[in-house]
Amino acid sequence: MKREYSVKSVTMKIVYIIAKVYYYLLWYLIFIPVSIYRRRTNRTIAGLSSDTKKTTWVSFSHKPDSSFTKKLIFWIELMLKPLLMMLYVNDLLKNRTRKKCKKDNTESEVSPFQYTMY
Amino acid sequence: MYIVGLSCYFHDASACVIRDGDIIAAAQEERFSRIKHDPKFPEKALTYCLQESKITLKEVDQIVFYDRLDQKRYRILDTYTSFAPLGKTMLWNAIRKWCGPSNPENDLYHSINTLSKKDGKIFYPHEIEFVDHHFSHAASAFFPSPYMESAILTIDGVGEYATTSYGQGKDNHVTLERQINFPNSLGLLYSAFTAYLGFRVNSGEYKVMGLAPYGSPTFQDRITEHIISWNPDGTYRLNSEYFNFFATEQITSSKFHKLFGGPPRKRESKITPKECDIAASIQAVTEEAILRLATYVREATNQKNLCLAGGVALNCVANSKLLRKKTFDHIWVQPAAGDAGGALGAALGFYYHYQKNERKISMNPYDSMKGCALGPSFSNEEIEIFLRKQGYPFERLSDRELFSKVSDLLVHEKVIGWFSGRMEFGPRALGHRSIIADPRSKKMQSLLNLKIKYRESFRPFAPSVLAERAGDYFELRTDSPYMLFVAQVASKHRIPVTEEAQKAQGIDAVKLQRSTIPAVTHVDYSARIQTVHKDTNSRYYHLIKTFEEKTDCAVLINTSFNVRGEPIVCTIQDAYRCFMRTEMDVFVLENYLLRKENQPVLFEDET
Repeated sequence: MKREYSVKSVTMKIVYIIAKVYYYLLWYLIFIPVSIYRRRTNRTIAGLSSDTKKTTWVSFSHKPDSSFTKKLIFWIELMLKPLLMMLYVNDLLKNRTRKKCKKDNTESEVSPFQYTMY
Repeated sequence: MYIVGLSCYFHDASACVIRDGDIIAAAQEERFSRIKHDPKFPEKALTYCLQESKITLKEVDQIVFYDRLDQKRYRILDTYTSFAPLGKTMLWNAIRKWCGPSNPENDLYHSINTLSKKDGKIFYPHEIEFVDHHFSHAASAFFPSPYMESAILTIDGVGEYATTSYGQGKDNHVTLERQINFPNSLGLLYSAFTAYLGFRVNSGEYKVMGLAPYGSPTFQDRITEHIISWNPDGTYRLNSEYFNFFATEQITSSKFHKLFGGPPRKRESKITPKECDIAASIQAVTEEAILRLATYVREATNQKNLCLAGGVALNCVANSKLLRKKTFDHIWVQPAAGDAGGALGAALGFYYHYQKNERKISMNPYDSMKGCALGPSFSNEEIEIFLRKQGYPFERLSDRELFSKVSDLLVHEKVIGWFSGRMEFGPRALGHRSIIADPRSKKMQSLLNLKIKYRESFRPFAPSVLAERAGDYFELRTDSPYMLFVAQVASKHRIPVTEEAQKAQGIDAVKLQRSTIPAVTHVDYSARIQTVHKDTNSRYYHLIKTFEEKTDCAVLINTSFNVRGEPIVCTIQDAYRCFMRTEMDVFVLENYLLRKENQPVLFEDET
């Protein structure tokens, strides 16, 4: 049987492929080199330093503890923005609306008011 | 002032409502959804908490979330830019979740507004406060505690960046001073071993703790030599070569498997003495780590009291070692020390620390947790309507008749489902949703494990003991109303084990009778104790008192009212279903007593 492709599904697939290609580019051109650089310069996520005698106490904060990491994350976030946009568009095209997801998730569950129902 | 605290999206979602610092209600979502450790937005738990508080979301002054979701995202990026090329698929999956409806931030706003729209209110993003994960733990430990001043230590898997933190609480203020960051994590270390031993992470950790006494810590040196290193200031560092949990779905690396002589144990396969020894070793390492941290915290804060929270604080064996070492004069552990308690900490922390409201120590001599009975309850009238409607035969008894009859049934080795008062908040059943039995019975431990709970035969059971008689049975030097401390069975109750029998290795040792209360005596003579207090747990107290009058034994077996893989029961329906599916003999709902032999056959869709 001949399969029929709608404009929506073709666009969705193209957007997904572009997103995936963009992600692979980011991974190989940014993530891996950055990771190698961080390991060589001992600037990996807290605690991976080779100096095992060094204390691991740091001041209390929910944020990254070095300016290098803060800058790095800022740039990585910026580079991820187009990817997030593409995936969001892909989701919209897939018609994965929140309402639908919510319905799917709760179908097999008991009512929220079960504890007052007999 | 009404404040809602929420914790969700990772594991053990929960909600709570506090009014002017008083905890009105708190519950975990798993109890309503019937999905163990349910991480989803706690819609049903929140709905219950609002109903119990007799308010709608419109009347809520503030919603506080227990974690900073954006910072968690930064930590993930920080991790992958440290570990690439490991983690390509994991990061892709994470990014897929960050956009669209499954993004936790979107889901949080959407779920709150779905509930609040019914009352004509919309919550805008700035109306939801986000507080640090470890601040939530610290606040959950300090504000309900009986201390006006205390050191605070929080230890868990990972929050935003922190895995361990310490600080001080004074009056209405919590100051966290320092932290240890991911990937150095005591919680994740314990979880890695939990996975290696063939148990589920975030769920099977207490099984590792229960397995430890069956083995010897023969691998302890290997762990301290290769995997974890210590510093004089109590800090520790994990050797990342032995783990993959940073960036892949596999938790331990091949180097880890080589160190312990083989691949991880397959789930449900036979437990060998080697697994027992590994469990004993990681337990010993964890205890040492906690002792080192606590010693440093004592020096750094110069406080006499300690408040503990975070998932690792549920390790009652380590808590007890800390208590026995007398590093601190008093220790108080948040009973919902895991992420569920984060909701409580977020709400209390916001009320006291951020709003600077005055804090008064509870009139309750123990703490402000109200015996942890913070969940739904059912009146006798509601129960009778349910039983009549379903046509289930029952007997209605007065309190006195009930305690007497239940005690007689316990003496005759009957296993009883005890459903009374408000459901507990946190992982332990404390006499509100419990299965109880006679601890003097020799056959009871294996009977309960295999025919009632359908779980591993090595798992020990906890005793509930009248608070004033605890010293007669156990070498316990503190109250333990939440089963957060263990102690040895008193020597006068021990039965010497013959040399021949002592040779029993691994879980074969479970069959030996070691005390006059064998069903609650672990192989090392320890027991995870619940001291039952008249003023916080009156009905359960009177039941044990009546049992004591008949038997001169002030102890009962108390295990949670559920079967393996299911959350503790919440409603009458859940409890009845559990009663009928297992080999429990009697089911007590408040003042109603149901006997198994009188019940009609249960069809699965009936309740």
